[in-house]
Amino acid sequence: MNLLDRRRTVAPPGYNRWLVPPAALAVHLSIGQIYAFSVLKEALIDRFDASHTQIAIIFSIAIVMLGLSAAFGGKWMERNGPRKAMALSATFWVSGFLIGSLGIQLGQLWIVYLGYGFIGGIGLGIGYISPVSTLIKWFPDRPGLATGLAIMGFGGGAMVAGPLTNALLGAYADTPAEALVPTMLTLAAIYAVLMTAGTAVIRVPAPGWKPEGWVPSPKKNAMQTHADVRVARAVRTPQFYLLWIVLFTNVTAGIGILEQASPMIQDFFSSVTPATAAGFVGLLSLANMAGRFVWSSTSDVVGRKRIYVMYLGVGAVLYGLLASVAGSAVGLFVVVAVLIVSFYGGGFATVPAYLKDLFGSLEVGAIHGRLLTAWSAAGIAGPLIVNGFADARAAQGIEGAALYTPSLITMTAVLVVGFTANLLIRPVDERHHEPVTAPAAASSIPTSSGEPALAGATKES
Amino acid sequence: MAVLETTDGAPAPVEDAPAPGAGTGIRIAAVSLWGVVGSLLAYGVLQTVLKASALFG
Repeated sequence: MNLLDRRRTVAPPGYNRWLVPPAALAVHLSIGQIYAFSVLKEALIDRFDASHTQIAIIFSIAIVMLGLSAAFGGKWMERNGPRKAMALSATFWVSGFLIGSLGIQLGQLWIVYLGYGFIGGIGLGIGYISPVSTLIKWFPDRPGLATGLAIMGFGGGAMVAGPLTNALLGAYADTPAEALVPTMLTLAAIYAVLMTAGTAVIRVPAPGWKPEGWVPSPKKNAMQTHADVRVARAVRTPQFYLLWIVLFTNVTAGIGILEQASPMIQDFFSSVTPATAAGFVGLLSLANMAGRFVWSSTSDVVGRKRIYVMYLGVGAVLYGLLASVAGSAVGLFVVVAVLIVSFYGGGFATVPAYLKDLFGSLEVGAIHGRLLTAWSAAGIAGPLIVNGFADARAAQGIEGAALYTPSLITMTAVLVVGFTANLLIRPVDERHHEPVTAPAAASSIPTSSGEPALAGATKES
Repeated sequence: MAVLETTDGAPAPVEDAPAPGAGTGIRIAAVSLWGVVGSLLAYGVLQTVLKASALFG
């Protein structure tokens, strides 16, 4: 286990920090496969002669386990370092594929629930948070860019896995159902290699390292701080819960579009064929991935709070447009939907940097893990809102764009709630900050007043 | 004041910092991994662009 120890991952002097992101991308590209699960769905339904719901449970278990393992594994990850966490993630994720394949081979759906869903889901959660805090520590001057790079990989993972899985299902046997096991085993092998490479390459900065020439600029009343707040304290601050609401509302609204993208555009415009709708879904995938990198990087310039004002405020206006006038032209509908989904991706990628601003980088990975429970909750709420309204309207005999009007108006309101929560976020009170450890003395030094010196005394713009 | 970059808030032992000149192998591995993940991303983006082009066809 020595190879996995944090001290074995400390970067040598002069190590180029741009050599770190590929390790994060290797992990996120692998676990991002979860969003291409739908490609396996029809083959699984055939193989098990099961309903859509029975197969959808596999995905749901995985997403629930993602949230839980990120929430409860974050503290362990911070203590043991990114390499051990990435190795653990790879073990769970690849084991999930192997056990899932066994379940498919034996015709036992519960083994697939256990393998790909439960065990694989643990790998998802640990893998998602494992490189984030390391990247933030390498890029204290541009945390938005750093987290955008990593989390962009998660969006890109589905774009790689989708066509690859389709190709494998077509190559291994006459029917996709027969090709499931070799396809899953091949994917397991690819992800084992890719994640192991990421685990080997990941490096943490040496203690006290900072980018050459970078000096944090002190500025009063700014949202960014150099103080550190531990996860146990962070979850007792109003800022954590306000940010939870921000992430929950942003993800709920994005899922509202993504969940129903194909049927929605066909219901809005009778001229749109299923093939064209598939192109629309592809365009949204690109917007999702690009939004993660572009908007998160932009947040380094304009500030985290302001960029969420845009995600949530402009997002609410765009949802209002969808509900009112976007049905008048395909082009307008597509542009509005692309922007909404890019904000969804941006919200995911920017939130670790927002956490770093508020709580410092000491346990940002663990705090991020706790916050991801908002993702799990939104994963339930978003589809429920859209499908619930659409089903109820359809039962009343309503067709076309009108099917979605109540859910689009609801999403606008949801975003306004998030917008308000974001405006209420203020810097974390200094009583939550960790005491400063003086680098020269290498020990904690209380001040003459008896109060511990606070790292939060300096803030950057 | 900059914050120490340790996980537990305490300074790490001196032996944590590798010697200068170390890490040539890892640099090569990291650059190679950039090539792999970059190629995979390019493959995914290309496939998705082809799919999305149906929207404009």
